[in-house]
Amino acid sequence: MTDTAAAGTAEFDLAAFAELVSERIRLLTRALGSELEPVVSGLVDRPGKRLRSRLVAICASLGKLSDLAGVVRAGAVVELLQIASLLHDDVVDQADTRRFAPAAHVSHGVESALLGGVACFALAGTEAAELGSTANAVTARAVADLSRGEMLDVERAFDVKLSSEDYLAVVEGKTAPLFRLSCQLGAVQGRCDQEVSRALAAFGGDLGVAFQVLDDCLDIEHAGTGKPGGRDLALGLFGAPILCALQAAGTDRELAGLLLSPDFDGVDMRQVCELVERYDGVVTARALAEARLDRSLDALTAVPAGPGRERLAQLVDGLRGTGA
Amino acid sequence: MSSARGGGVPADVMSRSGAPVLDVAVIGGGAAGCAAAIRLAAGGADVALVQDAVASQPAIDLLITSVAVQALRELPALQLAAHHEIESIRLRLPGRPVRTLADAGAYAIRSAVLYDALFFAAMSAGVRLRADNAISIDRAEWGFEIRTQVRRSPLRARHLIVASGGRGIGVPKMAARDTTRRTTAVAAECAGAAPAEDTGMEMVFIPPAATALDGPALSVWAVPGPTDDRVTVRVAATNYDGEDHADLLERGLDALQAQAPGLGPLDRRGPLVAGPLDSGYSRERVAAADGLLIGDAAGLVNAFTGEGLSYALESGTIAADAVLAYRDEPDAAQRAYVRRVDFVFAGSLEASRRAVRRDHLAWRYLSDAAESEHPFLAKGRRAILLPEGLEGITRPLVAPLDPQLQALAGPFLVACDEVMISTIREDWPFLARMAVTGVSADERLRPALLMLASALAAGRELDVRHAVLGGGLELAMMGALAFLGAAPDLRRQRGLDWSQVSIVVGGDFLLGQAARLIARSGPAVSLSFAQWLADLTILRAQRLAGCPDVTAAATTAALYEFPALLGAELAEADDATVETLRDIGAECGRAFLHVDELLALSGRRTRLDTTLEFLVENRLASDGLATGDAAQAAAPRAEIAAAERRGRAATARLPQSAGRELLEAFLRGICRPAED
Repeated sequence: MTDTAAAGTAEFDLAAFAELVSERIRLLTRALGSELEPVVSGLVDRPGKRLRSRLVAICASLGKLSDLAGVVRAGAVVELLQIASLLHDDVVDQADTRRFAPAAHVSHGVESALLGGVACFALAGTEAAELGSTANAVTARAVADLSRGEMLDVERAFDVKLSSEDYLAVVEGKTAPLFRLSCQLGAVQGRCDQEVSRALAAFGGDLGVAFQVLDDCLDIEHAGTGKPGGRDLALGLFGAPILCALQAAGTDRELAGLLLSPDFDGVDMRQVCELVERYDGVVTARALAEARLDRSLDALTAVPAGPGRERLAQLVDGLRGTGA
Repeated sequence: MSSARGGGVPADVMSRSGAPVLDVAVIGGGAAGCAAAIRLAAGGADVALVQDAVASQPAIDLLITSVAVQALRELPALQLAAHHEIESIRLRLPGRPVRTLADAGAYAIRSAVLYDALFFAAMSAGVRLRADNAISIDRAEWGFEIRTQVRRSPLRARHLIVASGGRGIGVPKMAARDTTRRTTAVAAECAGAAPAEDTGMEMVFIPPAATALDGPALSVWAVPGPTDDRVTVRVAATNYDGEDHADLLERGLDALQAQAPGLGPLDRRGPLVAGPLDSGYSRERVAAADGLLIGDAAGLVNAFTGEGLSYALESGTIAADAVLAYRDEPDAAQRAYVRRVDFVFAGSLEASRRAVRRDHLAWRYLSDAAESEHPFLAKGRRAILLPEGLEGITRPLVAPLDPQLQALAGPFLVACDEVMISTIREDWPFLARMAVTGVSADERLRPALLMLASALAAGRELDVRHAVLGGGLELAMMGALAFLGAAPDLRRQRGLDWSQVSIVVGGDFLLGQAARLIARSGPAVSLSFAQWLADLTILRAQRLAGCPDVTAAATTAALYEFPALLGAELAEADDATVETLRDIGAECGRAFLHVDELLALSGRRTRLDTTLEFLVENRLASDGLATGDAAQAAAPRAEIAAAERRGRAATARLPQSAGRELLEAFLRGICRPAED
């Protein structure tokens, strides 16, 4: 189905690309002025792995790329949306630090941090609108889905009866849309054909779900080693391994009892981890993630072979190894 | 008993056996049944009400909320004498500050007075009474056949409305339904109340534990009685384990004593009125029923307060209208009823696991949000406890609009509402209710109206296709509101801080959905939206930081500039017209703020549903305005007058048109409370 010769016409130096995206974001956030810019600059200057904008670049490289500036701006869209959700999530999750520094709401106050998040959301909107109607439409769809996922995620707080299927539906809402959007925007900017674009969107969605479930697994596996996984438990936001364990535990209410204890600070995280292990919570959750990773690779068969597709497959393999 | 207009049944409505077929049979003569019957009779339908000899009403008092008041007012020939006006409701939760819902617009009435009046109004409207007990309902090709206990001849009617309460005939059995909520209510008249100092009423809520999704929860009302020392205590308990109604009342009295000690020690005097409450509404339940289920029979009861009267009246009205619209097509009437009732009530009352999660969320919200007068939280609180009916959304918008302008704007705004509500109600029904929570139904200052008026003034007619944009605009304005002002820090407790979470997640949700709806009008409109939102956050951040040249009114001016700008852009107006329309929007926004200051200064319900204290503390009020000095009203009054003058000068620059008239009406509407 695909024209392999056309694939991979543009190769990216991903490090240089990340720098271009950062520059673009700095340019945009400078317009926020001396009151709001400092609120968001911390996250701009201390980027994470930039997984999402990397997806944009790789997916764009799969098509008939002509406009690098457009790809950079698409990268800025997804990273700005990520910054917006981090600023807001840290308020919701009561996280005091982010990327080894005080969270924005701690250093600038809650209202300023929230305004900073809205401002980044708005800047992402201006970029997407200027990228044209397709980019604008897929971005708008993604932010609507994300905001709904965010709501589903808090709505289920303390629900120890949430099935892993229902949890995956929550993750489809809260994590998958931005991964999917990254691939879609890459495909739009790379002018990939429709079939490839659709395959990349499916790939991104499954990758996002797997990413979240594996992240949940890390929280349990690294509990007590400094990663603040215990806070989500205190907030009643139970991740995949715990929900899988609760489902397997059936009538054994010990784990549920611990998780719902009003005095959670007194609960031993080790005890929670032991119970999760007894009911194979991590093993079951990892299997769920693996299934999504397999499916994401299946989607790639519709993408022309070449270095770009290789890079996407490597991303999947990299995730498989997470914490293993 | 025969109808005043009875007798002349045309031959074509004779059933095969020769017995006359009436238009409608209504089973159950409670509030829902009477309301439906009265409205049907007034609409010219031949109606029979099947109601056993009325048992004497218990000696208790009922609360009529503003929604119920509105529904009752629309019933012809109804004479009601409420003994108490309730101007405000004091909301009390353990460990939280007391919050007052101002301008409640509610009344207390003797139960017997209300039901007798409804019944009398039904009779005088020409409703036939069959004073008997329905024992079976059968479907026939021409309609329904209802058999009753005493009279041998069955009652035949083309349409059937079932208003027989939560457990009556024609109502699906509880066991056959997914009953995820168990709610029990008890009420009794009590004596010993201290003389009331004002026209407020007490409501106490004991929410479930933060970690217990289906834990027990209690809501207790103290409805003022006909004499000073009497109150009716009404307790609604959810997930309450136990059958002892007297014990439940005691718990309610204890909660009242602990949270509202000013009421005095109360003793039960009257009989105990008790029973299960069915708040298990679902679309399927109503769609699958024989006939139109209304009120309690449809599971239409507020799960938090146990209030069902307003839902009974609203659903009765909707049912009557559906029957009148499809007189000869019972199935079409039922479909129309299901569609409308689901639009009005869906989500907020349905029974499912998700509903359990959402109920719990609403309880947490009610509890945590009691710490703040943030407009988003205060509006949400009101939307949960005193939901203003979605039925109200079809009412006139900025009163007084002359009928021609009303006809011009009405259908468009109704379409915007439909878009807005259907976008959010399934995910977050309280937000949907919040969307239509205005100062009153006829005073909603709709951004979509400003957009429409601006487009018209610039020479472009908008049709229902633009309602998607209008709905998106309304959601965007509501979402922006969430991020103005801060909520208190509640991190000392287990679990999420729902006041904070509601603001963030609710605001994001509204903005996210708005972005999607707006994008359907294309990237140029999306760009305007995104730039507006960025500018708004910058302005607000500057105001927060105390920038000397950024006034409080600058933020609300920017807020209201946007709908005017959108209208101008839709009309592809020239630069001068765009500027003029933006100016008008901005003046509306300035007036909006100063009117709210004025309302807050006089202690009235503000359009933001907040207090002067909150406005001042959050730099949302003008500089120099301080709490506790009502003599300052002169300043906002002068500002309102100035904004209105500038706004009128701007409208005068536009050519005469219906759009300009609408803009003038909008400006007048925004400034109006200042004239009181």
